[in-house]
Amino acid sequence: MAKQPLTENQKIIHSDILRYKKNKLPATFALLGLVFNCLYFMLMYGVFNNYFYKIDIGLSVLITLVSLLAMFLSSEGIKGYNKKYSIVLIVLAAIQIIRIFFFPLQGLRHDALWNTNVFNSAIRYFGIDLSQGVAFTLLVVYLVASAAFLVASAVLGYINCMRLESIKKKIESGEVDIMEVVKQMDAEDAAKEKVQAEAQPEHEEVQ
Amino acid sequence: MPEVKLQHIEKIYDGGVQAVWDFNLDIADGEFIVLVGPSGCGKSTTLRMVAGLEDITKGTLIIDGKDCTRLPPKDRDIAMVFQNYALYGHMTIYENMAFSLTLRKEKKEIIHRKVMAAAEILDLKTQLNKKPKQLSGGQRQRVAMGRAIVRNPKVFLFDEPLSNLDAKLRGSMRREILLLHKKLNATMMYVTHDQTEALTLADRIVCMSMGHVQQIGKPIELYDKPANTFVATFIGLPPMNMFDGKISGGKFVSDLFEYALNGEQKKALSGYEGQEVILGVRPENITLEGDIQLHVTNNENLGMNTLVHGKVGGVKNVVCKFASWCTYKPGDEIKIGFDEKLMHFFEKPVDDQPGKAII
Repeated sequence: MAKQPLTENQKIIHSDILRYKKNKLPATFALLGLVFNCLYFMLMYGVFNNYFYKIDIGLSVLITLVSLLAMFLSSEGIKGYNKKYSIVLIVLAAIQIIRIFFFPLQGLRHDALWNTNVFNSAIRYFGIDLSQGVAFTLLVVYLVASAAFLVASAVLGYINCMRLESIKKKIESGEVDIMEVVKQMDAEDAAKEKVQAEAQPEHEEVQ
Repeated sequence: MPEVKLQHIEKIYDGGVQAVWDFNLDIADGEFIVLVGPSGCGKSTTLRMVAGLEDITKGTLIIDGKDCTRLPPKDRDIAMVFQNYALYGHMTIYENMAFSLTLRKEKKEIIHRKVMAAAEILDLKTQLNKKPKQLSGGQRQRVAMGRAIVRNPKVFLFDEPLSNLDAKLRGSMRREILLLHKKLNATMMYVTHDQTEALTLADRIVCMSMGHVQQIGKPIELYDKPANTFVATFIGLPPMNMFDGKISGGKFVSDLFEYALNGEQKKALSGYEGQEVILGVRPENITLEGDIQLHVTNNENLGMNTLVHGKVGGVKNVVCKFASWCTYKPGDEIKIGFDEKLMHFFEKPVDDQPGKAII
């Protein structure tokens, strides 16, 4: 059955709920972005062990630590309907996308990668032996997933923040009276129940 | 049809201790019933049996025409408010109130409407984002009531909900509960040991002692026409003064004084000639016109009235409540009498059973 569109009163109630609930879904998305970032660096350092040691590792560790902290703080910020954190989340998502073009893609392009004579040692990751190619592909997937969740968190968080701001303004200006809306909806429901109750015996007679 | 019926309900604990004996009560739809009695009288056990928190050993419980004797609590459609509030400390007030509906997987929209309506009734709208620890005792109790209201149950059960509050707050909360009952017009069962709560809240009071129902009636009935000596002394503050004596030659004769009975009293006590009876007089029904000597031991001025404590015959403690500002001193001797229209006579108690009312 097709989902019925929300009535104006229902929209108001759905927005009013935000006043008493934390912005949990966007916060969860931000944390998922963080989780994929964790999975990324866990695999990445496994690849590094088999691949090369450079000063880049230090930079990579630093970026990882800062991004993890920023993602966590943004998750908490967006949970409290602070729309500024949506911008932070977008920036973090952009960083994740940019990271794809450095290490994982470079690794994938490396001709020697697919030459098992040179890189014949598999990468052990969560008890599974991965080839270099699969490992680099996974790294790209993790970064894309992390970025996607961060963007989703930022967009959804921003929408909810705006909805909350809007309903607060309407309530403060007196444009909307929540109790009046609740009473109207209760009355509508009571009328519907009455109609259903009246229709019930006729229905039984037909049967 | 009564909303709740308790038929021959008994509770015997595993150790063989019987907490409730043959409890019978029909509660009408929308009625406010208060169970009152001293600690250990079985009032909370009765309430918990209605809630389903205690098994019913014998008898039948019918709620809205449905036999609920063996039904689990969740299927009885009742809500209980506890003395200690039983709120979740880590949840906000909104989440606490919405909790039972969330467990039922109700739609968010429905939950919100019910919570907002309850918050409006209980004046909690500005507190919904706070945690329970940020609220006062009275507000917490209101949240506990809100949690019950949102469920829209058939019956509300209150187990000494105001016992944790100070006297002032208890008074205001009492008025709020009364208003709530009027607004919801719901069936309510309320347990308390505080007779003021019982007298002010109840449509009918069930007075209990030692697991037995002593009297069921309107507050004024329990006050004016107590069924026995227990009810007479339990209801009323200060309690009724009781004098042991016997009926002899148209008089009530005790070791302390003699009292000539009027025509109505003589008629009612005609079958008790020569038998021991108890005379009961409420402190407010003692007058300063009479010939009974009272040796004043204490004079308590309460503003609107004065409590005068004293001894009759040097042994029997008597409390008088005079509607005037008195300035008696300990050691003063005053003459008191009884308002003959408001005197009570009871049979002598037998085998720990309270003496039945004669008039």
